Amino acid sequence: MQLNLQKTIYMLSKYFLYGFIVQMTFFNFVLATDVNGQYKSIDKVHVKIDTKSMSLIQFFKSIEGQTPFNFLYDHEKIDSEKIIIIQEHAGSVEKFLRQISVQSNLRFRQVNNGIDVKENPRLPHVTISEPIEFAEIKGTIVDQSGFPLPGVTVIVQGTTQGTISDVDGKFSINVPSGGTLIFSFIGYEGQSIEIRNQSELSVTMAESLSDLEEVIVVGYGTQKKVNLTGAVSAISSDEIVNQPVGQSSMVLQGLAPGVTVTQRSGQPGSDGGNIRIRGVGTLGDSNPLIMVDGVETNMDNVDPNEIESISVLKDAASAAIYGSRAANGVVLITTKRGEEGVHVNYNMYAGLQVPTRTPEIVGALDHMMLANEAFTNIGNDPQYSEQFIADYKAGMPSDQYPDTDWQDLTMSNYAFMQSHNVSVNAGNAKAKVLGSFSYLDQDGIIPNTGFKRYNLRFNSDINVTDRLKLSMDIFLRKADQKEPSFGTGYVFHWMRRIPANEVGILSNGRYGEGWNGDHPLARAKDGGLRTEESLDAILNFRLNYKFTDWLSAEVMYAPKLWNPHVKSFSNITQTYARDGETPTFFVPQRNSLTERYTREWYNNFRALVSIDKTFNDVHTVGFTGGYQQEDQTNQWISAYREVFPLPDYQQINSGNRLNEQTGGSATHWALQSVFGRATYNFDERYLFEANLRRDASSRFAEGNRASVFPSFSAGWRVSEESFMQGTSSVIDQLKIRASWGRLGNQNIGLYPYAAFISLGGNAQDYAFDGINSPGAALNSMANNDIKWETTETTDIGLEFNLWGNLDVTLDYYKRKTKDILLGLNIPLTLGLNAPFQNAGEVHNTGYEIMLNYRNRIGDFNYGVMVNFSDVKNEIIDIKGIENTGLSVNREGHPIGSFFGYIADGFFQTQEEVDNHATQFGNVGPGDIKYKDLDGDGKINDRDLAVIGSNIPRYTYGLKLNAGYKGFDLSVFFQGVGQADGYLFGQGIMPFYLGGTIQEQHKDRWTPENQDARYPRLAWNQTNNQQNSSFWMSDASYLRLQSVQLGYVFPNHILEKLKVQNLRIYLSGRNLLTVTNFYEGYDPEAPVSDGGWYPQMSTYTIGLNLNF
Amino acid sequence: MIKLFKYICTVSLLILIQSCDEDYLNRLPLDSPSSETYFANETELEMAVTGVYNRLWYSTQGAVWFLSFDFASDDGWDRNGSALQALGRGEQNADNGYTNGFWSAFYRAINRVNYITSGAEELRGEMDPAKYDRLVGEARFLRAYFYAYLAELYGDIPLVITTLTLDESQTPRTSKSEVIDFVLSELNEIKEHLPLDASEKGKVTKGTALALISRVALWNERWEESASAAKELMDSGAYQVDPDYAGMFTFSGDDSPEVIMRIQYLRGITTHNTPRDFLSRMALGHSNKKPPQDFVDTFDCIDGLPIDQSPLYDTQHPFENRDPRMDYTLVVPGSRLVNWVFETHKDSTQTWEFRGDEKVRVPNIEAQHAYSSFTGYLFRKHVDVADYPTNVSASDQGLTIFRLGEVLLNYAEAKVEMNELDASVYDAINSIRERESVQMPPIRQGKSQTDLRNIIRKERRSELGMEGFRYFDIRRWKIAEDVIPGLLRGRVNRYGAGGWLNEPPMIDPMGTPNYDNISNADEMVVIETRAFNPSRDYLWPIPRIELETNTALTQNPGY
Repeated sequence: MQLNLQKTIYMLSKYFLYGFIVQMTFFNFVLATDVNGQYKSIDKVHVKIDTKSMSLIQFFKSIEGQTPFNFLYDHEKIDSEKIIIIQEHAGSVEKFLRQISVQSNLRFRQVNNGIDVKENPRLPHVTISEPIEFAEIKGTIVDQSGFPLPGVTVIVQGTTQGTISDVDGKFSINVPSGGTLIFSFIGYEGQSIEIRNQSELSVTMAESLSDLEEVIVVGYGTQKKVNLTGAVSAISSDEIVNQPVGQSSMVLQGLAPGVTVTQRSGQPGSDGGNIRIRGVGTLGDSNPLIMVDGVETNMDNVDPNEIESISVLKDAASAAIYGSRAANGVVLITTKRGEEGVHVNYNMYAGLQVPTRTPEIVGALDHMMLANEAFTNIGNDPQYSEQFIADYKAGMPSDQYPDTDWQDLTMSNYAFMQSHNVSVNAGNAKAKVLGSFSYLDQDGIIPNTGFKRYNLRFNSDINVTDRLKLSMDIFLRKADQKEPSFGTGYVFHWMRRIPANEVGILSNGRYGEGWNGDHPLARAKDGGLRTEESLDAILNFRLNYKFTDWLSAEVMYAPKLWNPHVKSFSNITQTYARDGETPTFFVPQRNSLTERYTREWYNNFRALVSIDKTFNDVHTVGFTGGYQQEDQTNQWISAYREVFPLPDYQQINSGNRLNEQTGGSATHWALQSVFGRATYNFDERYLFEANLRRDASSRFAEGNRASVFPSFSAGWRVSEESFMQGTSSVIDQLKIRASWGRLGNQNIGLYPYAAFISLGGNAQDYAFDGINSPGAALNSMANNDIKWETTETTDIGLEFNLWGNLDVTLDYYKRKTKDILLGLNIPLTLGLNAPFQNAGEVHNTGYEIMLNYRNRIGDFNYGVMVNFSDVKNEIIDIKGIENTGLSVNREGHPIGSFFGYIADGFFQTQEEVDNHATQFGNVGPGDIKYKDLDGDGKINDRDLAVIGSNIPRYTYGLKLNAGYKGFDLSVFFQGVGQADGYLFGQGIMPFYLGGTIQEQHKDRWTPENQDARYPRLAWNQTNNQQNSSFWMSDASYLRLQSVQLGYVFPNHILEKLKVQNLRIYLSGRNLLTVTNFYEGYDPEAPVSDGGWYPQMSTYTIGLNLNF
Repeated sequence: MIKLFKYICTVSLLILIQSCDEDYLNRLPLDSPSSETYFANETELEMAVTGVYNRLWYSTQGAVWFLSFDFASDDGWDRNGSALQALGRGEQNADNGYTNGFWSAFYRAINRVNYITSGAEELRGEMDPAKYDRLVGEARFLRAYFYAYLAELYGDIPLVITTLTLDESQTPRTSKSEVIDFVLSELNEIKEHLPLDASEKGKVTKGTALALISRVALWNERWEESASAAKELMDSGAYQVDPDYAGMFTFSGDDSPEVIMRIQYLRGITTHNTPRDFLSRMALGHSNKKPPQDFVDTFDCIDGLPIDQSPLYDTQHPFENRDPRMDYTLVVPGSRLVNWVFETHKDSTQTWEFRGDEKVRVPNIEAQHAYSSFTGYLFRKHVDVADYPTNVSASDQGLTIFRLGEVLLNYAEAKVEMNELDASVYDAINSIRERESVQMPPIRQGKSQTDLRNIIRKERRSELGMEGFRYFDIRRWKIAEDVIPGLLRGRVNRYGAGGWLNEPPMIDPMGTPNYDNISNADEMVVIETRAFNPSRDYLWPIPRIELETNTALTQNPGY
């Protein structure tokens, strides 16, 4: 695989963790035994046993008491309580063993003073080894990039003697001459080395191409990937780190089939993605549940460097254990933890962000001439006289005759960004601590915009006793986002709207008028700041007690604190007339300061019991049961003053008290749950799992509070069947799985069932006699009868591995969400906001394909990952309500479908206009023609139809990576095969409300250019501005999402540098997009009027250092 | 250690058992009482009544609700490409946001009253009954007020006067006349509970109730009732014609003897942006609600004659010698607005600015700016220049919704329709024409019923312009179909052209100009082409969504 240090480090720590768990479970018979040169053979040592019958263990103990021999066996596999009958009471040990062997079907093999006990019919009954000469072998185990591998199991072939490599990858073992050492480690290919005369070994382990032993984090636990019966996508840290994204949610984009991430803004701090798992499940909140180390958190709070692994639970089988919050899927994030040894990692990157696409706006002369055309086309006088334009041309650019490029004036072409992460690991057998500090600094392309984030994490694990383990994690985060007080949307809106013939900056340096004082640069630069400082803290205490090998219990208390502080000072920006002296519009009319403090405290208590036991070697039973309760209180208080005579002093007390305003309130909720999971597998061949969760929520009325969410799943590992043995060289793995389950969604507001009187505020108060009187009103209707909305998911999956290096996963699913809690329209004559009602049904049907191919040719490793998925979203039932607007929910169509007239080209002649149904206002040749669906000769609301949807379909990702010697390269494409985008207003419509026009609009309809992209220019006419399919654009795209080229320095250089590892890399993200979307706009554009911070490409250089 | 763990387990178990208590899940709102227990005391009633007044702040399409109507009449135009503009053009449908907004907003207000009348009754015995009746009376007044408008706009409507459950929500339409019966009977009942004069500015009074009776009865041709309510108010002596016409629409209107009720605003709580809508761009306005030429030409000359008859009318100086109410209501070219002379002709690239006593030439934004030209006129009424510059978009000046002037004209019209052409009719009309700041020649006695009817109709347009009456007047007089269709025009505004109409338009007896005879009519700016379908447009469409949620409803014809 990729020779990638970073990757290796994280793989390593991941496997280190899981390796221990697995090894403790499965290889616990491996014990390093002391050896010496004086051995007697079992046929030479005589013993006496008087008892007639005894248990196996008593027998072993009896022999051990009388001889130097020790019995070595796996307690899991050998039933030591089995009763045996002793017929001959004296004789050699060998003789005794032969008796026992027949009775118990056990095989014994002497190795020096050890006697191996195995339950294996293929072995001879009793084997005596010759005394063997041993030599001590020392060695170091490293991975392909030369990094030491701790935790590797080293066994002498044919024996149970072994050891495990230490933190530095070192081991030492006594090996008989001519013996063979077997090296094995999860995730790596096994290796055997024959020992001849060496005393020092240097072993390089190659990463395994197949991941049979891979362990996946699932709800409240982990599972071996091969034993999974649900649809889970696992993403390891190496796919995440080094990606120059400000917000962690973006790293998911394109990586997992069925997980759609859409980025609607490139603003630092707001450039996270919307995550949708398997479509849009509900008409309400369809965000997935994000859990970080068992605590519900915003994914963007975590720095990508902190993440160990991500599991996306997509179907009901895997998610049902999260019950009422899992309907939209669950994302489980595990952070990195400490390991043994002391080392320091430093990861950094720095680079530039560049907008992907920006529209081109016409210059002043073009604006005026085209505006004249727009006036003339509708029969009005031109707005600008010919003389005026001639004067303009002669005098341009000047204060009187400006030619302002508003975008260029306001926006720079690039912005800086950097990220640093230092993590210090210290640990021994008793305690392990990982301290990690991350810093992200992202500048904006407009003034006063940026984002800084400081993450501090201490994850510690303490083995209080062998059985009692304590984990204490502390997570602190400070995030500071700043933006102009009016927001970045304002700035981008106006820089794309104001015509070039308005003054930006006058020659004396003052601001020109802009548009009624709306001036993007003035507002961005001098209009004051809005800052949001967030302080987050999560404490996570876990106490785990292991009663026996198979029974453990854990309690967790993990409170979370969120303390955002929003401060917005809006300063007055004065604009000036073209004489440079006369003050004209100023915005806003008063300067003001708003401050808001919020405190959110979330309590999360959980108790878990886990059982995992295998009977008779083939029946593995697992059970996890738990209780959880969560509650949250959110309090906020705000203050406002306006008129700050000294605007440099931006504190509440510096403002005029005249119109001071305060606000504040509090909310709370609670959730109480019991849950459990039972798993059973037969010989890792037939797999069964059932989950059940009962949630009771404060959001429902008594009586409707609780609901039960079950799921069932089963898997069949066909490849483990004997009839498949013949094909195992081709089909390495084959698993069929199916699941069904029911999930809930509690994100429906806090008190949806009840009606409460709103007190005070703009919607209740009134001013009598110049004094505010507090008012009260009932605004919403109550519906006590509401209950949980439920999502039922059925999933069928097929997983197989071909030739050992191609993993294929296929899934087909159907998600049915019923009883959707909708604020279904009620008669307006009731005069109240609609209550929630259990109405509505939405279906999502889709499939997912994931292909993973890895191979190695000599030093050259390469891999290809392809994923593809589709989901069809359909509203089945919405109780016949047909709302209107640009975005509608209609039965038989996807959620939030675009709704408008169907454009049918342009009118080419006046005759065509006259013969067509009546449209809107002044209509002439070159205007958009709409289909008269009902044929009544008028274009009206009855001609509106569903025209498209912006829910992405056919999403795909393609990742190629390759490594050769120290170099590694990865290239990642990602895309959407079908989606519609929509822009309106100033974003795309020429001269909308007096705005300007873009270069692309020059391809407009004229009698000479009938085959135009855009309709004729028509000043202030509404015909072409109707919501219609004309303004909908194909938003499918193929994007070169990331490219990364890295180089790991070879060992001899590293030794000189005294570092363990050093990698440098060049990385680019969002580099190239192929799309038919509107020129100048990213296909992930929000449905908007063009006023948003554009999506960014990033170019970075980075460094991973380890010492 | 094991002991420790056992201890922790025990504690956890205790927490667990403790929290299984249902109380853990009882999380009611922390900041608002439940609707079940409301109306526990007088304060709660007072607050609920205040909550009804709050709905007077309804604002739509950037305008305060009652001011917005006239932008769809022949007196005004909304240039925002809005649903209101569509209504003006006769392009409204059952999804029109502007028309639907009223249905939703007014029923919301009505429900706030229903909530009081359905739930507060028990309080009557626990407090001063007179105070109870007054408070509930104020709320019931507002319900009647909103119902009167709904009936006028939509015709037959569901008459909901108690709180309904979802199951009871399928209410059919009640005939308009029954709704009006209800409105008038409510007003007649509650007026006795209300004081004649408001103790606090902004409160509903008996005067308001009488004024509303006269308005609603007039709109519904219940002449007798309209006239008698008007008479009761006139005779009460509580209100007098204000000598200062313009003052009624500025901050000083709060103290005007003529003003009966204003919508009250308060800085820091709620303000309106009427100055922003109306003012010129030089004066930091957006001038996006505009009067057409039509409205300008309806004002007589000071001799009481229409401009096509008056010898005082000079086509080259069309704004001289005109009814002063034209200047109080509108901003015409050449007049002063804040610190500037308002000029709109395309060639007037400079204008005068007043700096103290000085006048200087400055560049004129109005001439070049694409969004200041259009009709060439602006509205002035309701704008107090004191709001310039800081409060242009956040004015807390009260807006007059009831004044004696209207009641006098209601009285006159009702009497004329009853053919009772006595002196009180002339007195009523002349008392407003002859106020000190207007001083238009009085109407001489001896007119026929038809003449008087036309005089009153024209008088209403001049006197009550931009006060939210014109839209209703042209509908109840059924003249909308005559005055709306066709071109909506602004001034003559062409490079090099003089800027004025060559001849005065023909003015019909109701004050409606006709430009067919004018030789340079084609030089007038055409704002838009409007249509009016008499078989449909006299009523607004019931919101489409309402027909889907309430199957007992039927749509108005044509929609």
